[in-house]
Amino acid sequence: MIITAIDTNIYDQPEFVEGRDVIGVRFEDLVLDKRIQRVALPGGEELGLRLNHGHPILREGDVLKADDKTVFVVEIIPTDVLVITPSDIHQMGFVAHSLGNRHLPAQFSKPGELTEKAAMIVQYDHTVVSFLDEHGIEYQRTELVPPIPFRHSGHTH
Amino acid sequence: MGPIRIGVGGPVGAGKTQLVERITRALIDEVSMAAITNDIYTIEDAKILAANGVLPEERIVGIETGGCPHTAIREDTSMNDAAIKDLVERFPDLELIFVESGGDNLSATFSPELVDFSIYIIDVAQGEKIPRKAGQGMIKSDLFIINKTDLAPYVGANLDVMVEDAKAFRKNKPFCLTNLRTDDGLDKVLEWIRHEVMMQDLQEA
Repeated sequence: MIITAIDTNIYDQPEFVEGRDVIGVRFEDLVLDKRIQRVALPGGEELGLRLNHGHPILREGDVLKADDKTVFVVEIIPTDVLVITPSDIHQMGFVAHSLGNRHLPAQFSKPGELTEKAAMIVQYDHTVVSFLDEHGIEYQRTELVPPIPFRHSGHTH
Repeated sequence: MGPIRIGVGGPVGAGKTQLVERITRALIDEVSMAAITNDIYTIEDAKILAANGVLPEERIVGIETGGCPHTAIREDTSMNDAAIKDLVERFPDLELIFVESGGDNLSATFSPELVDFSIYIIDVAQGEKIPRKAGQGMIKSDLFIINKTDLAPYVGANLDVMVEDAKAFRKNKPFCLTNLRTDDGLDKVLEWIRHEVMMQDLQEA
């Protein structure tokens, strides 16, 4: 079966589940914005996603398929990330400029959202770890589901 | 829903234009297709495709990027977006559009807003070690192709090593070996297009 639109999310509409089993279908962060892809459901059935250009990216809880007994929903696999917490604005500027020059996709969290301090979040990369260690910049390696998927990959000349 | 867009990237001379030429030749009777080529200061690839291929000239658009070609497929895709819009207006029945990048470095990847799938192609003569260099183009692409397999004995490249490295970095994502001068291995590429891209075996709900 090919699906061309997703219009239900069980977190927006919890009543949709109503007495049915919810089965998670695992997606890696990297494929959340692929509008066309084959998806293997637990149990063996294969679905085809063929969403329109501009369709919102897949979100946790998006309903892929539902019948009387079960609801298959998107479940995002946590990604290996570095949560960087610079000590002051000087260090923040230095880190953001240096890693920005590598064209790394990055996300930012406000104080209290992910950690006590504001943080810059990038995908795990051993060359970033060396950079941070060398300059004594505080970071933590962890696995999480980022608020938005990491998009473009690295860039070097 | 508009045509499906497939990006084709890889180093200079790996066989990007030839790949588009061979695929379009094989599918011309079953799929409505068009191609966009990106070069730095010329539209040579578009001309070659028009001269050697089966796609009518009006279904081929050449773009001069004026700078590193990877910028036109990732950071600022506006020229390619405009070319796609133009093609779709002129050929509303289009099912597949190939967006060929200019020959570029091992990190070249496509913006997910520009293409739905990407193919990264290298050739054996560039060196056995290329897959091992873990370039993002090779790792992240949906299909990886090692072309010009017939040259392996002449350049001292061991295909088994290249295959093992490709498997190690790409995990279970597909790759194929081709010799596009003889269409050797092209059937695997076509099968990937029919199965993964067009999903011809699945029915619309």
